[in-house]
Amino acid sequence: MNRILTIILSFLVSLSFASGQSPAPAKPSVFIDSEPLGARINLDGHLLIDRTPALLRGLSPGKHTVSVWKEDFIQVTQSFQTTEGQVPVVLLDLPPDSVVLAFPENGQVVDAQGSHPTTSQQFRYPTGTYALSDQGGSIRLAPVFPDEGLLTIAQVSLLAVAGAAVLSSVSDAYHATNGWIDHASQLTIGLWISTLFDLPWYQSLVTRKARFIKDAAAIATARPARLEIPQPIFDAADEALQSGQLANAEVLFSQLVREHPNSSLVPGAWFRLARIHSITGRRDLALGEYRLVAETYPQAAYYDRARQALANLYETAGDRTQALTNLDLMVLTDGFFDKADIDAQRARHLVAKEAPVAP
Amino acid sequence: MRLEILALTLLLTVPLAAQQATSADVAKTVSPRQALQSAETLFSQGHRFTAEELESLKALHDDLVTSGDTDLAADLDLMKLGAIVQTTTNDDKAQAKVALGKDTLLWDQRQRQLREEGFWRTVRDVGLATFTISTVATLLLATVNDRNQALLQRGNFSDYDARNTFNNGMNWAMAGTASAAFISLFPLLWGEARQ
Repeated sequence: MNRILTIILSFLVSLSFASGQSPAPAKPSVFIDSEPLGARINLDGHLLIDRTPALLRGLSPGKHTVSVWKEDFIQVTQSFQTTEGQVPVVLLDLPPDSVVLAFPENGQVVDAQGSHPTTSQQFRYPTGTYALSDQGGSIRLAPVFPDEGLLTIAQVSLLAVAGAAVLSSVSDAYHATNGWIDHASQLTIGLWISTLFDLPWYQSLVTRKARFIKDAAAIATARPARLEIPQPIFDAADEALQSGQLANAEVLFSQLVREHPNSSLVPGAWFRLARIHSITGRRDLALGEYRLVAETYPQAAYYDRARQALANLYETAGDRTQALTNLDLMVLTDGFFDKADIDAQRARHLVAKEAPVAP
Repeated sequence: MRLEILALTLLLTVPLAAQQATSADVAKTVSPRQALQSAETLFSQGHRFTAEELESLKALHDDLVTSGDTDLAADLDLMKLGAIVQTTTNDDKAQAKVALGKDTLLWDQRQRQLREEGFWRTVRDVGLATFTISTVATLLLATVNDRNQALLQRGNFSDYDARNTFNNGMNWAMAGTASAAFISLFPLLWGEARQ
């Protein structure tokens, strides 16, 4: 009797999926991702509480504008289009507003603020253009004022107009002495007025340059023993994983998530750690890590895979409600999963949930 | 859920207490491995670890190292990191929710500042262009006017009145360009100072 009921339920559920009564097409969603992670998001002029990476659901179809910003980085803005059934990925690379430099081969660095010893030191300079000249023991680093050309023009024009005014005045005096003219020429007056007008402009440019130089002051900090960037660690860890060295891969991925928490590679590292722990039988640890990827780091490349892995783990544990919830939350955007397969899996859970339990 | 938290606290704190207890039986109740398993179960359920619980995890880490389970201790560290990330993110979100109004104001202020920088740069550029053109025009007109004045004084023109009217017009034109140069100084200096 129970078997018959199960078959009927299964048929009805499959029918409802086939006839389009599966969850109505969700409102458009978008993945907002950035390098580095943890940037604030402003969508269509509204600041959100989420930080990158984020999966934003329930958007209206059409054009949207997103701005992301993180402290010490320059804000980036991008527009994107949403349509029903599509989940675009907006990946924004935030350029840093400063750069850290070290000069291990030079004893001194001479910048706009003076001379500093370079031993065991690194210097943070604001992003911009610098003129660099290596003078053996010391290195000279001069920030290039963006309006340097204008300043030169102002300087030259001021000198030229003032010089012309003096010459014109002398000429007027000579002509007046000879009785040819009885008043200053209009040109002389015009030149002196131009000199007078040029002066405040030149002065304002000089003031702005001084402000720029002051803002370009370096912040010196102790130089770390070694500098590591996340990509090589990730690549080495992935290589170890591919070749089956799970322990080695685990160590390297752990190093990455610990030492580079803001790298956009972190969600991928957590996902791989979850896979390793899933393979090695650490189910709870894997479950927690998959949750982290799906909830805290919803990155387009791993979101669906983490949700599906969670569904599978919950299914194994007999928790069909959680399995179904995770399948429902999938956005099926990365082409990794077939919608029909996920629908079938969902239908299976629904049937199993609704089927009466044998006494 | 409350029961689970209680169980975890017990599981995490009992081994600590067991270290200090004289009775060996108490220590046998919960092993570090069991405590780790319980912690991992809570982690898998998205439990938000309190500062006290995280401190207990630290003690559990030491226990695992002491018992020679260094690989499990490494796993515990990882789990702890994940739990901290999760908790911090949730806390940040809760905080961001409360401070959303203030943060929005700050964001808008920053946007306005960025826009204003661009605006004042344009004002400066327009001022500079007007200033340059009117200065050059003033000097050219002054030269022409000087020449006309000299020719007029020498009596080179048969129709003196017409020429005089023309000269007056040129003088007014020069006054106009000089005024334009003076007026354009204001946007030029404002724009320069506010960038």
